[in-house]
Amino acid sequence: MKVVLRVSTLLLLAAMMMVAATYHFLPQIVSAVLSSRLAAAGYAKHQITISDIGWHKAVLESFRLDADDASFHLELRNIAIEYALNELIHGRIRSIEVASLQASVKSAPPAKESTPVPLPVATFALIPAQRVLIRQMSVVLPEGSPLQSLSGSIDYQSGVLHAPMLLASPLGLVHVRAEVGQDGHVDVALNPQVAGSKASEMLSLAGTVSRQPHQLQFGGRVHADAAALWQLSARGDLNAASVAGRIDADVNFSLPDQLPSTADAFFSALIARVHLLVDLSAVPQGALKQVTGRGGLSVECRDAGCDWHLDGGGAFQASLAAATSPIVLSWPSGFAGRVDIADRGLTLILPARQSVRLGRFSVGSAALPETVLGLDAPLRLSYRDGVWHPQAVALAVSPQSLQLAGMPVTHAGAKVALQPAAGGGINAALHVTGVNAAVPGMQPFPFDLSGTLALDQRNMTANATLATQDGMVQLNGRVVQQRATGDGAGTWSVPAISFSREHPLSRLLDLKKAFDVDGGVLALTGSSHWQQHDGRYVVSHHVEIDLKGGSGVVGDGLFEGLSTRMVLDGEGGLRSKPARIEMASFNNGVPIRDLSVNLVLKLPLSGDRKPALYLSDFSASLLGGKVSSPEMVFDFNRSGSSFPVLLEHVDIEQILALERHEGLYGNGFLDGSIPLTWSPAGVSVSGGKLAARSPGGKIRYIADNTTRALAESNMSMNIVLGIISDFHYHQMDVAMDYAADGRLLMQVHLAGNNPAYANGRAVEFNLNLEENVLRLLESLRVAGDISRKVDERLQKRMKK
Amino acid sequence: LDLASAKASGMVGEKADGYLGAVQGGGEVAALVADINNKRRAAYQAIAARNGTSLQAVEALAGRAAQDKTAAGQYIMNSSGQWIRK
Amino acid sequence: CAPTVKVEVPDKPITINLNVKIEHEIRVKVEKDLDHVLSQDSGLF
Repeated sequence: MKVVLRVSTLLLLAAMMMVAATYHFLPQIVSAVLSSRLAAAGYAKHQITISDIGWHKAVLESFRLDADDASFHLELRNIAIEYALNELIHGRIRSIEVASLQASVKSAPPAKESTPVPLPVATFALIPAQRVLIRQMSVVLPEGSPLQSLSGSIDYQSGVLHAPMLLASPLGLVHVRAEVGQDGHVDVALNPQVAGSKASEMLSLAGTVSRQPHQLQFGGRVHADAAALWQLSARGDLNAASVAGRIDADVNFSLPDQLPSTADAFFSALIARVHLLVDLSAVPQGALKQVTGRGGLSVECRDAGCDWHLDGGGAFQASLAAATSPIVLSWPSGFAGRVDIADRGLTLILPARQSVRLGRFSVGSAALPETVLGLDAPLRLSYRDGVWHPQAVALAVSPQSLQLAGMPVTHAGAKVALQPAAGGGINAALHVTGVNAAVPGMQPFPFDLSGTLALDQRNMTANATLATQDGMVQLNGRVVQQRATGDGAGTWSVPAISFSREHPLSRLLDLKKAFDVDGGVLALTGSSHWQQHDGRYVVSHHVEIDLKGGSGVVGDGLFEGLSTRMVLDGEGGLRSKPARIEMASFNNGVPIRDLSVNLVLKLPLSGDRKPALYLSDFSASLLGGKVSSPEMVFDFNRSGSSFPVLLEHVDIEQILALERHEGLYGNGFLDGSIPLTWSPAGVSVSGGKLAARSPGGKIRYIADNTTRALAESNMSMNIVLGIISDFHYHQMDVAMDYAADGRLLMQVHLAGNNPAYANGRAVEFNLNLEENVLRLLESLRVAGDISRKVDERLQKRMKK
Repeated sequence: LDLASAKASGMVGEKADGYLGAVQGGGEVAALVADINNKRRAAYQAIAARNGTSLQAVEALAGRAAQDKTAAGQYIMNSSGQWIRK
Repeated sequence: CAPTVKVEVPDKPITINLNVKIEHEIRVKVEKDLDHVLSQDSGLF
């Protein structure tokens, strides 16, 4: 039994010793425990002087600690802590009294990992002590922040907190009243010290804090004056912006009782539901000119992301360098989106199937009316270190009509996809359907346009394909323009337009006079270069035209087999290199075949100059012979011009056949030269000379019975009919004059005889002939079915 | 019997004076030719009156036009009065 | 139009002066009218 006793006494003694030692060494033990915990929490440099520790009370002369990374310094003086041992074991303290508290926060570097450090000020409700009294407190805030310092006192007694503070801010001293009531009621108000300053009440927050297991929940209302709040929170560089308006919000959020120290951890732990009534207008710096927002904004946050929803509309005005007037982007009520918060930045996500309204604006030569932009795909904008980085944008533009370089243009909807490119550039893809442009001189025909645009620091490069919806024409184009100088170059090509009755040229061009091409294949390529010379743009063009087998209507006649390859260059106007033009046939009553000519075309592009055509080596076959002209000039800027037209080996039989006079026949061949004068009013000839080739030929006229009946009563008519019933001529000379109205006057002199009349006596025949060639051609067209074909082809156009 | 099939089967042909002629006889053909020619004569008189010219001039031009328009293989009368296939 | 004809000593050539004006005006109108009369759908051609 002794042994047992001895062991128990030993134990008792040891315990007594332990207690005494503990009691004696308690201060050292407590400070050792404290310092190990502080060191673990990143506050190795600390100094705690405990002057007395008793069973119920401990007094610390000072408590100093500095964060390893010097981001935080705290110093407390004359701290009296009262406790009951049994409560202390459970971590509860009766009261803490602090004579003075000095703290300074440098710019808080991101904490390496989230070490939950109980922040004494913010979570008083969690402090196990029933009583905390800090008589005098001052906290110096980091330089960058607009708020310089916070000073005041904290009186907390079992759930009830009074913390009157003074905040030094850009607005001067601000009264901060922080109250926490017995029932967890929280009341915070910020009022500027200078009475009557514009923001009477900057911020007020009223609500209740309730403690849930490991959770701190707050629910209440916040009223804020946006302007004041902005100045309090705005960082140095942004304070030039001005914000006005009111914010009234219902706020509910819950946080773990140990506040995570990193922003990410904080946000992922935060669960909040906020409904704000906003009436805000802000004039931020930079591109954004003005932001206005009115109506309700409800925000639900969870897992580091917030879904927000707007009840009222809002808009922001941005002024872009290129746009002449500011662009207003407004969003309708019901606009919603999400904000994800991660690694010190946030990403704004606007879900698809929503639309924003772009107000009227003009960029360069384009003037757009109000446009509805639908989001085809979610729009992501990321914000980091003060800069918005747009990510992919896919928009659907509603059908509209707009002005482009002064021309009304309508379209049936467009898709725009924008991608930010390296070096701050932008890549855009555009697809527009059903575009109709009222281009002067062109017929309106709907076409689809799809193209890409790449914008980088130096250049703007655009590629586009334009295709008419009826598939008749496709145009591919490429433009590269230097952003700095505006100089640039463009190439374009129209691979092949196949003309047909359904797709005549008149479907593309507004052809007023009777002219159309409804056959053949046309290919065009071209390039333009423009450069700025002392303030003015000099634009030079190069166009290549390749037409094969062109056929159609010109004037009252039909043409076929028109081919040419023409190259035109020039700046103000286009001038072609000599181009060979061939035409298989032209028929406006009298068929002309195998036309060919070398053409130099001068085509002014602007101004009042008119085109001019210089033709050389013209030749064609006509009525069995050949017509040619070394040089013809059709200059619409001049009153007219004249040039010789040569006729060779023209078959008289075919000429007379044109008259289609029953019983009239003749043969022989004519050569001659016709001095032709052309003017925009028409063509005329004066002093044309033709002569029959030797040996001459025959003229026969067998009059029909009515003419013969007439002749009986007229002797000379009888003689004439007798002679020309079989007149052999060895000489024929023709002098002709032709007026623009079609009147042809011919003096024909024939020398020959009728072998069977007056035994072949010589006859001199002087015939004055007058005829209207235009009427003749018209009658030939009727007979030859030409006019029906011409009307049919032109009719098709009128009906369209 | 109608005009188109009569022409196609070579029973009738166009004369130079603008009127129809029977290439082969037969009562029915003669009746058709007479009927068509009466109608044509009325039409030619109307045209002559409207344009202030003689019936003969209109008949002459009608003959030329009708013979020009006659399809290949059908009959037309030449200047010496014989029926020839165009 | 009345042609003038001079017939003198047999060995001298006969000279004929003739003025002819060819009228197409009427002819074109007539041909246009005939175009309708002598067409498939007129039943007379």
